[in-house]
Amino acid sequence: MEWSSSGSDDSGSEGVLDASQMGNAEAVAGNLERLVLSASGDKQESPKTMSRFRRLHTLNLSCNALTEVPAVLQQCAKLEKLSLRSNRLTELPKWMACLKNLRQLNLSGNGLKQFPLPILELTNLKYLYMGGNVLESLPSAIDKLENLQILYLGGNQLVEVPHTLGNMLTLTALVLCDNKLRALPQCIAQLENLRSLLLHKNQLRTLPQEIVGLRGLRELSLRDNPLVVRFVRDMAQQVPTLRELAARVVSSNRLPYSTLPLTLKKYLDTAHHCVNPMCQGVFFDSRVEHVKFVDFCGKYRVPLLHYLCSQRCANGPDADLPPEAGQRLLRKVLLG
Amino acid sequence: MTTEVSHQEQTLDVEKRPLPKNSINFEQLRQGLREIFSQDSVNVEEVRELMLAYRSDPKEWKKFAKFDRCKYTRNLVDTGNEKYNLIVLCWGEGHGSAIHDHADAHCFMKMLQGTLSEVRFEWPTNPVQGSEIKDEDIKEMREIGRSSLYVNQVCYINDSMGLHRVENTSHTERAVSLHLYCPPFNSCSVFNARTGQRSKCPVTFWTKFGEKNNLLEISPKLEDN
Repeated sequence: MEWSSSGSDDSGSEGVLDASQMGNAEAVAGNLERLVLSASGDKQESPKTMSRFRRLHTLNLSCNALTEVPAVLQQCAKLEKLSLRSNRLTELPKWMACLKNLRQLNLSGNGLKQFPLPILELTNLKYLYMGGNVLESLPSAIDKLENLQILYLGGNQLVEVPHTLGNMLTLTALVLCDNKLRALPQCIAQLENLRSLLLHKNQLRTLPQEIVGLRGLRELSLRDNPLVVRFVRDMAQQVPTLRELAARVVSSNRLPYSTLPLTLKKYLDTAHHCVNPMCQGVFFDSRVEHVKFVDFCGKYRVPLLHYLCSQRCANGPDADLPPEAGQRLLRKVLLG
Repeated sequence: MTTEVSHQEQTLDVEKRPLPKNSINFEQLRQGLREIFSQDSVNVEEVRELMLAYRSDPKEWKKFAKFDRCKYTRNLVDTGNEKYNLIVLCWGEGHGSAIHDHADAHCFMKMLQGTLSEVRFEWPTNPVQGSEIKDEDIKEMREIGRSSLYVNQVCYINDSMGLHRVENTSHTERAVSLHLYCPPFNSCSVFNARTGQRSKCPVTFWTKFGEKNNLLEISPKLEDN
């Protein structure tokens, strides 16, 4: 059995132990802190009991063709780093939620289709690697991982990500490459500590305009997306409904509407303000999608999507985004 | 004193021959390189054969292989008396480089662990420098080939052969590669595949000779790859 550190499993080198010597290792086991049982392809038997390994804080079980998480791990309450990389797991047992000391969990290269909910209880997690699975969606409760710094989700089947991702303010690296994302939620811009955002190999055509607010961003990958490059004619605006037109009048003129039926009140509450600073307009369902190119990284024009109330706003000389001080500063930094 | 490096072939190729019978260790590789480059004239084939002769053993280069969780790292190993830079590059899962040139230098790359993908591009024909680009000047860069590089294989590139992007496409395995650049350079150009825009990029080191580089200039520039 060889030492294997080919994934983001561990950075140390001690504690390689031959499984056949486990029976004789009692004196050693009690003090062992790191254990590697990585077979690199061959099936391995997990030790029958981990109870001897009371102080174990690092365990590498990668490449063992495991179809389920060994039940003996329930005894490893002190575990801080666990790798189950490159096995054949399709789910995680409920008791995994008890491994409360986990800081790093590597589940890459398995067959996980649904995001295992027990992970959400591991609130001390800093680094979560789930690349190369078949995840189809993320739970909206993902923001329960309030200490997460690295979230690796590359190489899955994600079509979208939940808005709650924007609540994960401790994130420094978000890897979403090689998925099927069609759009990013605006809330991504709330991740003020993000240093790295990998979005290559998706189905993105534009990015939310708020992304220019990510001032800490140092690494952004956009290749292999069908990104709009040249200026495109704005998409045809849908003819507004009578309800929309009436609501616009009520809203722009600030007419009181508290006595209206609940459905209409709720509708009026959804008013959006046109981003054109020269326009005082509001819109509800009917809006123009306007793509504006912003110099990003000093080298590339990134297509940002924002909404205007009408074609008139898109075409006029006032169609520029308001030059907020923050945006100006960011551009100065990016353009060196 | 400049060192002239000659080469017979003008094609970018990946060495797929089996390891030579007499393989050398890392220290012998370093010493061999210093000897080859101490001469005035150096042959590309000779350098490639020497790099091929080294059979990767993680124990020997582990101390240079310092990873970063967000981005690939460059770790300086040797400068061969200022003749070249011998660098260990560490690529986390999903990490990749921008499309770049080699500043008129010769570049050898050998895989030490994992697999890297290389995509080669033609030089852009639209002469666009800097950030402002008009719609009519935008031209997508033309890809001219792709290949994968596996452990112990060696490949070579220089500016006359084109540009390339190197990336670790694995979502489960990290990768480590050994690069030799002659003459050494501290900046090169990076390119945007969609528009052909070119801009200058400094080359920085994460560690030098095994020690963290505390003089690392944290560049305020965001890299778009």
